[in-house]
Formats: sequence, structure tokens, C-alpha cells
Amino acid sequence: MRFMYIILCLFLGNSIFYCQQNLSVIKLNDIYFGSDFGGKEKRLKHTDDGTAKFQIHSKIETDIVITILIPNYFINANGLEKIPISFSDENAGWSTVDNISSRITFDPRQPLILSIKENQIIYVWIGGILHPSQSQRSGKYTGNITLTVQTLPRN
Amino acid sequence: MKSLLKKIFLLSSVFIIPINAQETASATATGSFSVLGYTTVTRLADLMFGDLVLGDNTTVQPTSPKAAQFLFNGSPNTRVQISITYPRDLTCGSNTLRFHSTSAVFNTISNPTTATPFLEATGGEATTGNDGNLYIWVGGRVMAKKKQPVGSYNGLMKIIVVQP
Repeated sequence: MRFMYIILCLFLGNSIFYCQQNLSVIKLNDIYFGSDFGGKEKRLKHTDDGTAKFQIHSKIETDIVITILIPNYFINANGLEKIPISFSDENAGWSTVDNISSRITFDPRQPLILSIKENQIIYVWIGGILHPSQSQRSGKYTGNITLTVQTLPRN
Repeated sequence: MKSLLKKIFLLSSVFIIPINAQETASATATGSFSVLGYTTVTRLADLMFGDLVLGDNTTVQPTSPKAAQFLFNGSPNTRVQISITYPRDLTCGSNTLRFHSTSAVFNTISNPTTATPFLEATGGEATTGNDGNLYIWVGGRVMAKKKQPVGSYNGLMKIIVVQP
């Protein structure tokens, strides 16, 4: 019985060890489009100040796929007023170093497949294009952008 | 016992393999943008006390045609904050006439008789109409001393409307 208990502990230990997450994503910055009157398009390239910034880290060398859940609208506090938001390939960039010149542009509407080395960091920046109408009601509008990273099995 | 060990080993393998095969991690960023509203405040009428007898006082109600009238225009159906600042005295050269604030009312249409009073004479919250309009009427009271120097007295009243 005591032997079985030891085996069970070993089994749980193994499971916990293997369940440890090798991959992590941290949001470093939210997106801030500032403030302006309605009727003016607000473009935020991935190289502009105010973009969302994420940090991806992997403890192991692996292939990953990055998908970005982007909203169709920013919505005001009462949930009734909307500002359409769109994205193009000028709105997203990634790099293994935290500077502008090394960023590689990508289309945030499409999944991005990358290889990440052991203990490497990948940064991702995301902007967008807001289209407030001329008659847009004043106030604060918000929306969420979720970046998801999934490891891919290697053959 | 060996058979049991084998089962546990196989069981752990079954659990371990799919967990280690794929991992997912995610994080969410919040985006924000503030739309500024075009707003105007127009003075439509001054507060007129008219002629005053020495030693007498007179009060103008906000619903009176003699009340000060302002028109704010901003975003439709929006809660706004109104702040009214009154003069301490009306002046005529170096002579002063004491001014007392009384009350103020607001309405989304140009009709003071159906207007709503602010809780304080210094203003408060109100909601603009479908066209973004908000009318505000302000009254007041003055009292002339028996030895009040004659003349035309006036002062400045300020109104600030804040739209979020």
C-alpha cells in the first residue's frame, strides 16, 4: 500500500512537471488612439506611439501560431454607440528585439506562424484604423484585442 | 504489483502526451478613443432688474421674461454639468449694490414655465434634448439702500457647461 502511495506521488509529480507552461504572453501596453472630433479617420501604424504591445516568451524551441482576435467596433459606455475599426498590414509588426527598425510587418487579420528559440522573446505591436463618423456622439469608446499563441507540433 | 505499475505508467503516459503536445497562451489589450463634442453656449438675454426705488428690493424669478437666458448646444441626449457663477455686487463706478442669487431652471425647449429647477442656484446636472439644446434661465435679487447712489448698476454672471 505504501509502495502504491509512492508511485501515485511520482505520477502526480510527473503530471505537474509536464503540465508546466512553456509559453507565456504578456500585454505590455494597451492601444490608445487619443482624442479628436468625429469625422476624422484615426490611423495607428505599428510603429506609432499608442499601439498595443505584447511579449511572447517560450522556454523551449518550438513553432508557434499567433492569432489576433480583433473587434469590428469600439463601443461607448452605454453600449449603444459604435465606431468601426479596421486593420491592414501596416497596423501590425513583430520583432525579437524591442525597437522600431527591426520590426517585420504582418497582417493581423491572418494567423502568423513563427519559430521561437529556447528562452527567446518575441514582441508584437498592433495598431488599427478608427472611422468615427461626422455625427459621432462624444465620449469614450473602447474595444479589446486578444492575442493568442499556440505551439505547433514539430515532426 | 508489476501489472499495477504498468497500468499506472500507461495511465500517466496517456495524460502526459496530449498536454505536452500543444500549449496555448493569450493576453488582451484594451483600446480607447475619445470623441470630442462640438459645443456652444450663447447668451440669449441679460438679467434685467429694471428701475429700483431707494430702500426697496426686487427679485426676478428665473421663469420671468426679465431673467437671464442661455442656450447650450452639444451632443444630443447627453448629461451635462452646469456651473453658474454670480457677481458678489453690481457696480456703478465705485458704488456697489449687493446681489443675491436665487434660483435657476433648465429645459430642452425654449419655455421657462415648464422648466426644471436646479437643486442649487449655482447649477447642477441636466440632459440635453434630441437636438442637443439645453436652455437655462437664471434669476436674482438686489436690494437698494436708502442712501444708495443713483445710477446704472451692472455685473457679470458666468455659466460653464461641461459635456463629458
